[in-house]
Amino acid sequence: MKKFLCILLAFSMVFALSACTGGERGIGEAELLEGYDPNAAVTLKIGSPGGDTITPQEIIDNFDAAFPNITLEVDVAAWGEFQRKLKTQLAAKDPSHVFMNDSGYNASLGGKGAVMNLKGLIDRDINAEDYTAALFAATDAEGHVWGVPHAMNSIAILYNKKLFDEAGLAYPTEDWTFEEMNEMAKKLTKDENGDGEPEVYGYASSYNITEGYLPYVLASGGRLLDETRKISQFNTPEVLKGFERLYQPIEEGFSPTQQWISAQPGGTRILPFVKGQIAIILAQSSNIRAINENKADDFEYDAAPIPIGWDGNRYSVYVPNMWGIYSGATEQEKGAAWEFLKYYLSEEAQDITGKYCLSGYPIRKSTLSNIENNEEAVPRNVGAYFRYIDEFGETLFENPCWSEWNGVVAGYAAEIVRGEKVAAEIMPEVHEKVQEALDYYYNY
Amino acid sequence: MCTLVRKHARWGWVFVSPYVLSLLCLTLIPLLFAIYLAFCRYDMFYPPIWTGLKNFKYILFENEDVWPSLRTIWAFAILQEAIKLSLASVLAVFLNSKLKCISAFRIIYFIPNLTPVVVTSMIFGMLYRPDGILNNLFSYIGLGPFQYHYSPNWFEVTLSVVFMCIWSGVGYSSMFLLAGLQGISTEILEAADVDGATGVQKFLRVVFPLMSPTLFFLIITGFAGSLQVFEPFFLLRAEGNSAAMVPNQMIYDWVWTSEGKIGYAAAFGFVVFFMVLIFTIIQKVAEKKWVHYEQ
Repeated sequence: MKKFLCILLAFSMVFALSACTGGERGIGEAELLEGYDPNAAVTLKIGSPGGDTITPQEIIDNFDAAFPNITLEVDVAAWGEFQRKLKTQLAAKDPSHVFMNDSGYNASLGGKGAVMNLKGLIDRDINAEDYTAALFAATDAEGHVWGVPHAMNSIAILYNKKLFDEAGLAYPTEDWTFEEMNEMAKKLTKDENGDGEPEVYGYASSYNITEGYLPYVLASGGRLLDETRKISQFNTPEVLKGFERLYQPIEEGFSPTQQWISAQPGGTRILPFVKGQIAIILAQSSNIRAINENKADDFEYDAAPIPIGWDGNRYSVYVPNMWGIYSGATEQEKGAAWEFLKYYLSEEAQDITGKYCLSGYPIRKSTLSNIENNEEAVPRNVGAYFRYIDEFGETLFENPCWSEWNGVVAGYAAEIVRGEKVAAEIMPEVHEKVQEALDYYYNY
Repeated sequence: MCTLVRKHARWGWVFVSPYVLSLLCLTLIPLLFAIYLAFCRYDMFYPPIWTGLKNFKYILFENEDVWPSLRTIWAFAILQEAIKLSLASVLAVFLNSKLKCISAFRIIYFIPNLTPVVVTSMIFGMLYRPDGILNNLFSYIGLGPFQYHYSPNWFEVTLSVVFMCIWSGVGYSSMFLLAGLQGISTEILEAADVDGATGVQKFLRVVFPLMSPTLFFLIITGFAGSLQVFEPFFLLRAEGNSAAMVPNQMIYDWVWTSEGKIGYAAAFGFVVFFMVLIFTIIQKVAEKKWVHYEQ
């Protein structure tokens, strides 16, 4: 019996090990799915984090109606949960055939060959001229395209018009600079009762990558990683300058501290902005919905493009969350998934994305033009969010270990913005840690 | 005879097979697999790569967050158990009294233990807000404001979690102590009275020794649980604040929010396991010195 148990145990171990192995390390060739039969019946599993709060249900329903041979199964999970779920599904080789994910994790899946390289399909089936440069935002250093954007969650400056009027300041112009924004913010800061705590702050700094340190680093002429995205650039003077300039508004008292922001309802800068406690914020487009839902009827605000940086250039940061196709799916499933993505990029679906703007703006130029020309758009200058993407667009330096090194920087950035650490003192440590994370992936 | 035994044995295996299979598939194999993974690089996508003791070397000597995380759980466990058991003892004596409506009090003190930790964390998250009720109350007596779980100081964060867990767990411990108290024979207490023992002497020489098995049980299970704490720290963690990470948070982060460093997670899991095991053995050895069982 002992012998039997030993054999059973050994067999079980081997079984467990074999069940947990994935594909071979390697990068996918661009596939054209020529064996796909568009008329054959197929079940397509769509992974949709956040469900209809992120992806309009109308798009799913319209696709379902247009492709009767494709049976849809939509796998919905909360945004944070979805990634964890996907990870276990990938380990079990049973993920959705097409799924949406954040751009950083999508790059990671691309590096592991878990999502298809869509370069060949895009070149064959999509007219790139109809779209902004974001269409190719998932391109890695070797030219693979690991997905197509779900939307562009871009950044712009939002400002309270009434506070500008009261201070007698002209509204921001298209070619304003960061220096000018700081000067305006200083003038907008009001401490009328003289208790040392302003009733109105001119600006509010943030520490996250998109609304915080990356725009400042870029505006200071810095880059987070080199062109190969394998070498940290956190030891460069430009990056250091970016972090120092990010903290400057707090240091000089025209931005509230993070502790003040955390203590506000919602714990973010959005409600204080809507309540007129902050005059200017740098905000992602995904915040507009919350602002419009919470603002009073007489609250007037508008958008301005990201100011020109200290290096004389403008950078328009955006997060292109991605649709990726599972590389382990069958040819028929991949074909159906590509049909879905083609539909998602179509004028009809892009207009629906633009109508709701749940997590950002669509990438089709004609839709963006309609949004920009809509007289009823709030904020009116909504184009500030996407007008400069083609020329100055910059994503988050995604690479296969993005979440790893970005997680490292996030902790330090929070400490700098909270005033607990001085950028000049800890930047060598940040550089070392980021490089360690990159080396772990590339040179382990 | 032999055939009969074999036949019976076969039926025996059939009857125990549901338990044996679940033990094998849900406990033993995952455990063996976790031991194997502790010696591998594994990201849940590629097959595990054998790396020997590299993960343990990283955990014990290279990662700068591991030792602070162990310091945090020890501080948490010692503070929490000491304060909680002291309060629970006082509470047990109170709940053992013959007051009117004492049953209602027993229920009231036990209710926090029935509250899910998610809800408790939300309540304390609100109480601990920089402009929350606690800081407002403290301001009336010239204290604060405190930063609680927003603090960059690990000890302040740990204390915040300790107080939350005491609120939640003191009722549970007091119920055990109450049962222990009520289990003490009145004859022994009367005998102590007859011998002229004072109240303090009665407590130190009679009640405490007879309560020691219950206290021992609470200490041993309390420490084993506290040293593996996860949810309270995870749920109460202020965004961006990593001042007080505990091992299980690091394990969780390695598995889910980084690029799948399952090897590190498994290795650290075993380090914590052996730490708890050794401490439990020490407690078990010390049991002979202070725990008295009624003959």
